[in-house]
Amino acid sequence: MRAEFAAGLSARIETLRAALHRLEGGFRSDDAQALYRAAHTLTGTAASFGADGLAHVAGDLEDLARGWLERGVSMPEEWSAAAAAVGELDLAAREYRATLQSGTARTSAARLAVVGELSSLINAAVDMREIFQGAIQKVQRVLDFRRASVVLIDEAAAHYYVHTLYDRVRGGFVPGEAMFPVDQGVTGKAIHEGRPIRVDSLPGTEGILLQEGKRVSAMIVPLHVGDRVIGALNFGHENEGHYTEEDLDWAVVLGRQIETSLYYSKLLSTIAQQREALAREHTTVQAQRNQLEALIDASDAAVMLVGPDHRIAYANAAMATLVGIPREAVLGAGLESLERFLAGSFVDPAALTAQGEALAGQATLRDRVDLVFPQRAVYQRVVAPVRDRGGAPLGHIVLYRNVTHEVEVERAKSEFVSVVSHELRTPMTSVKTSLSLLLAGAGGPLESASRELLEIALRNADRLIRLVNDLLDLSRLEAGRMEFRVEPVSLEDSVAAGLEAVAAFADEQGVTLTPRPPAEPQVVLGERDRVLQVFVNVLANAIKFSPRGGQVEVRWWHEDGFAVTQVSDQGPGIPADKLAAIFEPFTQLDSSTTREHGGAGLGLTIAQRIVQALGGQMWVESEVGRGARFSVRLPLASAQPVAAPPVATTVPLPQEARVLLVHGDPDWRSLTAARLGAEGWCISPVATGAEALASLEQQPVDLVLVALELPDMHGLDFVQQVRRSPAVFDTPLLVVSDAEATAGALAYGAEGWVPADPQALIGPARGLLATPKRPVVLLVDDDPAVRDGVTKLLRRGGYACLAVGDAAAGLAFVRSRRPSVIITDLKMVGMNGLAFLEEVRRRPELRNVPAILLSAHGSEVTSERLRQLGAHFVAKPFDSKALLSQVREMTAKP
Amino acid sequence: MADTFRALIIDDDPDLLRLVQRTLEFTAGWDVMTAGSGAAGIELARRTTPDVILVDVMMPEMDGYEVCRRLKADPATGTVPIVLLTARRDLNQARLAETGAAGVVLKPFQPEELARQVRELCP
Repeated sequence: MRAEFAAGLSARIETLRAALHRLEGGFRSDDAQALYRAAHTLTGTAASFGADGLAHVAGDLEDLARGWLERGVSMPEEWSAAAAAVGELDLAAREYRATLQSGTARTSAARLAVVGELSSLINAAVDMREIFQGAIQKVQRVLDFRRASVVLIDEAAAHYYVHTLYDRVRGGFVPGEAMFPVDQGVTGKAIHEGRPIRVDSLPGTEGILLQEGKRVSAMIVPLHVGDRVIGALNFGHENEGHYTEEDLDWAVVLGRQIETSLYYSKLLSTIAQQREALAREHTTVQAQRNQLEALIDASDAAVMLVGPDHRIAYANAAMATLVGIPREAVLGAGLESLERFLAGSFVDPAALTAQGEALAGQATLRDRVDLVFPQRAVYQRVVAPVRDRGGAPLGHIVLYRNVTHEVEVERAKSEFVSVVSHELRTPMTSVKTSLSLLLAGAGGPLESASRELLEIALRNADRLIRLVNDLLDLSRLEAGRMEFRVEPVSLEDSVAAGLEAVAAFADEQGVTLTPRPPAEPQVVLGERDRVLQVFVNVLANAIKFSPRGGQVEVRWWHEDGFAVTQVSDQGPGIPADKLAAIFEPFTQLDSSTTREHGGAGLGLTIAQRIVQALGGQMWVESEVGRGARFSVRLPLASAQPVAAPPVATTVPLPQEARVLLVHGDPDWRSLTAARLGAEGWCISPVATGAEALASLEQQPVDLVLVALELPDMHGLDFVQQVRRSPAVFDTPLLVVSDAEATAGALAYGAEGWVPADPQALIGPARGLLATPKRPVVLLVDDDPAVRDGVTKLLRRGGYACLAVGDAAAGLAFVRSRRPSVIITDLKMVGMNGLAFLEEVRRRPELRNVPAILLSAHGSEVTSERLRQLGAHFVAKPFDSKALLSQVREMTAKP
Repeated sequence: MADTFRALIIDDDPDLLRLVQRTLEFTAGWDVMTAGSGAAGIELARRTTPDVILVDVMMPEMDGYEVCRRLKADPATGTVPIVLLTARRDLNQARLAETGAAGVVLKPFQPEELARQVRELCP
């Protein structure tokens, strides 16, 4: 039965092959069914005859066919799996037959022994030639052949070549021969089909030279490694019809042994190669790592890498010093413990919080921080996410570099430029003002020759002032010291103002300015004057380089949360190699292309720095001969109301205003007096603070302009003294200085700051004179801290506040002035708050003045008593907002 | 009027051009011609052959050195003494010598001294 089963196997397999072949041409369910049935029957039968290998492979095929039947469709990759299974079945069938026969034939015993020896040889050998030669030598004992060879397919799979060749006639192993195209001959056929072939008669097998008219026989067994045919085992005999089907079965079994050995040999050599490659790679990586670490250690920056697991993956020696623990302890430490060590190092604890936030996010943190450990110093800090080349996150790099020296140098340089600029600006202002006055006829009528010379002088004084201003701006921008009062700014208004500012210059140059506004108005975030400065600089540059009769176009629009303003000119354009340098300071001066409007070639530099400081970008596109296009990108103010433009021009001009000038520079005094005198105001100039205070006592004024530096005192001390004087405490005061001093002026109670240029200060002075006087609040409290705090609070709230320390002073004040509100403390040395209010209420004109009683001990005063005195009670400590709104409410009543 | 000393000034800054002109006219009574660019100056010099030419060093397109070189190379103007005007204190002396200029007057100059300085430099 077994023998019959074994003999019928080839026919069954052919049936399967044919059914599969038909399915490849197009799916039909009866073909699938035939395949399934054949596979199913074979599985069962093979199992019952103990052909386990066969049953297993047939089972796989059965599964595939069932799947097709169920889904009604077959996939190409499933056909190749099925074809492979059929090939496997063929081999398994031969093995099965070989084992069956081995039990009966005598030669089979020898054959079995060879198979066993081959197995042990194969397990021991790794080299392919050793395997092949060993196998062929042993096979000689059980198979008769003239030649035996192993052919292998080359890597391109286009040819096969003879790797190992045994020729009995030539006495053993001989060198291999030429390559053969892979699709030629019976060997090619066997390789192509992937199954063993026995040929009884052919004119000659590869390499066997034959006598005329003689025919030979051959067997070819393809060799597989994995899914691939890698070559074949060939046997050739000089007689026709020499080999039987049994011989082929044996050849297949031997082929299988060789395949197994090849598989292991490949595996072993691959492993060996990989191990070597890994070792080489490791050495290289280690060397690179050592170099990198040496480099990072040599750097003066403290560097560490925080992994995605929030542990310190790497830290250099400087970082260990910065953290204050040994490097070994830093490596691998958790972020939390690291932060505990760092916590005490920061002057501002918020700096550590910022670092934690940066480590948790994807944004780069780049700032300067003050540390007290390992030394008191300013550090440049960078916390940035890092990724490997493939883009996978590696964590964050944290870098600290001591930049104290750089900061010092920058500060000194910036300070120097700032001081020099101010020093230059003061005399220049006098020159300019003198010239303006002369030209205005202040020195008498002018001859035309005199006028021409004066005009030249004035024009160049202006140029010098512009240059100095530009230098000052640039030094401030570079030091990051320019402060911006960021507010929503209408782009339309700014462009319009910019065009207006350069209109005269454009006229002179014969250039037409063409604004092309978008349909929607755009509002950006910036400081009005600085945004204007940017546009003026960019426009002036465009005009300067335009040909006579040329056109400068301005367009603007919004994109991605920004507004872009573009200024295009028809000038000569900028060569590509000069584009990058166009924003560098003094680029124009070097080529001396201009002496005119826009200063010394600082305009574009300043514009770009301002735009960057405002969170935008500025760039240029140009081609030689095709003009230049400058673009300014500023952040949009989303849905924020536009601040009203200054109203200085619309306030009525105060007549007969009395203005006191307090300044140590006699030139400034006389020039400013002349300029303000022209407004029809009455000017009293004095040189010192003491003189000014004395003058004020005698003759109050409507406005005081006081220099920040006075010969006898600081200007802000003067402001403070005025604010404390019961006679003149509510006089409007403006602090005059070259440098911006708004914050200091406001802190000391002045109305604001104005520049020293008489022309520039006239607007704010006029505006202030036209402002209604502040309502007066009298505060009586013996605690200087309360006096100070409440005074500031009320000033910010728009009130003028006189603060006195006792009731007597308060009573002295109300004898000459009627305040809008009186605030008094309850418990005071001498007369207390209640007694004070009683005294106040005795005066008829003060009966209705609203009063506030401040006390920490509310229970001491009955509400009845409060009502009698017409006072409102506010408990100490009071909420400043509540106090201010209480005062507001009181002053709002008729 | 044949004896009047005739000077040509070449400078791209119109204000300075005018001031130097007025200075020389007023302090020395010279007859002064002006040109706002190197090219115009060379043209004017060739036509009028002045007694001295004052050339600004830093000018766009053609700088003072180049103007000087061209004037010296031209037989019509090659013998006219040239005085360079500059505000820069760091002039390249080698380049200066190559130009064949008679000398340099530094800006800012004392107006009342200018004519004398120029006269002294001329051979």
